[in-house]
Amino acid sequence: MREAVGLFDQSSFTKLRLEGPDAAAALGRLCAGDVDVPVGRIVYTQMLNRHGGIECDLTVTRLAEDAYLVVTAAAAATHDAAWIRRNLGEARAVLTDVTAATAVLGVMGPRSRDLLARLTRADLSAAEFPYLTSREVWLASAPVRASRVTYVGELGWELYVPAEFAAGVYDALVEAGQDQGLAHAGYHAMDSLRIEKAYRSWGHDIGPEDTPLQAGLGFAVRLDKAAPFIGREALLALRDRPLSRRLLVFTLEDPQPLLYHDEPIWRDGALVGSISSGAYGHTLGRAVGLGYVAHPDGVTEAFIASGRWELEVAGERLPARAQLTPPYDPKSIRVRG
Amino acid sequence: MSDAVPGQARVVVIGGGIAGCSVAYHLAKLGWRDVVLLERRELSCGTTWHAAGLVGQLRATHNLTRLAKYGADLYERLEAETGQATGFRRPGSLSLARTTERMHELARLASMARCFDVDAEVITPAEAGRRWPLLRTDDLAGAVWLPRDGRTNPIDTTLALAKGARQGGVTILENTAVTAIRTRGGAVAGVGTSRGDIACEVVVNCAGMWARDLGAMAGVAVPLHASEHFYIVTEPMDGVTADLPVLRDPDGHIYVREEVGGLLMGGFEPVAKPWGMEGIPADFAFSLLPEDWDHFQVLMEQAIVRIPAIESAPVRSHVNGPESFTPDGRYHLGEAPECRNFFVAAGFNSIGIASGAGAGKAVAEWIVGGEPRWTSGTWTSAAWRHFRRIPRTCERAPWRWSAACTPCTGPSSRPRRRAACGRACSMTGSPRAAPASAKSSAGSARTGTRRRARSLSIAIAGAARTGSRGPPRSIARCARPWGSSISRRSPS
Repeated sequence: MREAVGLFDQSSFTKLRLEGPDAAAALGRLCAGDVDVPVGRIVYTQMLNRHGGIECDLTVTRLAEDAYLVVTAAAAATHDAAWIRRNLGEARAVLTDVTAATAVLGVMGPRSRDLLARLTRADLSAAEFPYLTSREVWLASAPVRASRVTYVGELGWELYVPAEFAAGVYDALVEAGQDQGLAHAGYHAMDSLRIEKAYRSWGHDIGPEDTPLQAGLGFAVRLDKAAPFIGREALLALRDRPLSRRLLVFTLEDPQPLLYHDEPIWRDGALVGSISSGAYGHTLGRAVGLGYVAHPDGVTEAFIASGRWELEVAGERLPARAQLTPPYDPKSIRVRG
Repeated sequence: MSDAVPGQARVVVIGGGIAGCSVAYHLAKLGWRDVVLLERRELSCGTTWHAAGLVGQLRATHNLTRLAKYGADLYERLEAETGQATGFRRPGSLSLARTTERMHELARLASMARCFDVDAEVITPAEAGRRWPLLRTDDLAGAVWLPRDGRTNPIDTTLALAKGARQGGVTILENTAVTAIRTRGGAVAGVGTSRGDIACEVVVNCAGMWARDLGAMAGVAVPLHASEHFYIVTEPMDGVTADLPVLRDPDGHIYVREEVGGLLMGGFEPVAKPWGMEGIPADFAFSLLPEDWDHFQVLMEQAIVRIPAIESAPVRSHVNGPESFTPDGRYHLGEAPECRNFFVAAGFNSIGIASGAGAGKAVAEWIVGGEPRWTSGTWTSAAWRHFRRIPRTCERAPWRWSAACTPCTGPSSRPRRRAACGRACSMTGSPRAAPASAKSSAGSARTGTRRRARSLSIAIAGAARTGSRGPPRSIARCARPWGSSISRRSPS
């Protein structure tokens, strides 16, 4: 996948359509990011509660002036839909779960562009089809929404295929990928790949008790956008204070042990936190974990750099490296390729 | 008992088991007095009364552990606070590993315990044997010792919570069945009962096995299913003392604890036996299901491997009490997505006593504060779109139970208890009740044993009514050639 191209069945991702004259305004009030974007743009954003905690972690694609596609995790379907519905208030906008109507095939990896180019006439070049854009294309004789977005940290597209065309598109991808090194991959592979890139997982690494600032997702928040959003006041109050709790990325120095969740985090012999999710990073050749660390005076870069870090696995403390940035492709060069 | 219910209340809690009483207790603690708890029959009569009463603190996730740990702390002080004995104590617990892989998992668990401030210690098989003299240890890889794990008497603990709730101003009405949930504009408006309507702002569904049907009254999906759950209780045995730790042997699927000088042994067999495919009978109160020694065999075999002395111990009772389980093993907690102000605390997967206190606190805080504070991920886990509405018919359920689905006897043939045999049971009609009762009341000053023993006598009485119950017998004399099947397995 990191070297050629991988094919993921992401159909279980939750797909919601929000449509109506007030869709943009309502979504703007719900999302911490700016979703009043041109048609065809994808926004990675969070929806916050009034304490600034992360209720939903999703991508929003503007389909039209008055229509959005909201994509979130399979397990978050009921929660996220309920959160959106309850906060729509009197807005003239209708939310529909279209998950079952649409298959999602993830084509991810450095050869994804070459593979898809065999099946469509659409221009897939970085200039014409940049990262975080989406558009409808004809692909393998099917009307497909291709979205340039990734949860694995590579060049790639998520193909939203009407259910009745899904089998045909899948067959075409497999056939066209035969000499491209196409590999089938599942959610365990995705989990390994995403954690190397330190992509957060809602319900594990982020949730209603974690703010985007603590979670390192401040880049996705637009405090200065025109429309106020739920949770903005809480974030403003927190903005200038030191982060006494912060999500860090850990890699074990020993390539053997595995990380899952809830492993204690030690700094200079003191217990300072626990792992929120872990997986083996096959590209890095060692286990990777995300986890919150608490320090009353602030978890600063100096605090991180000056500590001796250990993760406890089955009673044994193992040396680890702590950092704020992803251990794999920290500058996202591959994603934007 | 008055004939009519109050015309209105701020909150109506439905279900008088450990969950409902805990919600009511915590609402009262937060100063909400305008609360009515409705119980169709009598407090604890559905599932709570036959629970084993284990109060383990470590759970699969951070939040569930937080709630369970709080439960042990609350039960510990509840008697002093309410004046109602609970039977809670902390004999500690032992978790055993038969393989190095299991030991690794337990060691990880012990590490995880640090994050929750739960004491946990990795110990050798020999040390485990010292804490549990009847234990076979030569085939063990190790164990984890949790010195602060507890056990409690489920009925008395429920009554203590109810008493605390009443002291805080909550009205508890027994023998009041809910017949309808009224909604207006997508939010709760009231409850219809067998004794009149109650207008209310908030409903909390703590109806246990019935929570699914109760949820349906408001258009709320509560995916859970009842499954038969078995344990036996032996007559008193040498080497069994009141301070014996709770034992968990996950490789053998069993748990064991002391009960009136004997052992209570139950477990979670790999292939479960679902129950109630046609619905849960409304009058299933202080009731049990028929014995099924064939189904229990897999657990019995494992118990004999672990505690050889149990093979010749006379069995005082075999309890088959159904409980509710959820598709993903996590309980439902929080406001339902389909209906505003309709809360659910149900589907406890056999850890209702350990989790009930914390679940009640979490829901009460959510109701009073208007938003969840420490329950993230509880609803969402089981709330998988259409799967939430899977019909009860087990043939279609994608759960493992489908493989184990066997025809159940109809409701009419199930053992029942009359209302009089609940908390005010007279013990009559049970050939084994008198000795059990005599033992517990004469036996010790420990709180809680009396009710527990009575529960078991009810079990025996219930089983006796089905005609399947003979005189006490030893496991060795049960339906299967235990000895031979065991000898093939051991020593492993």
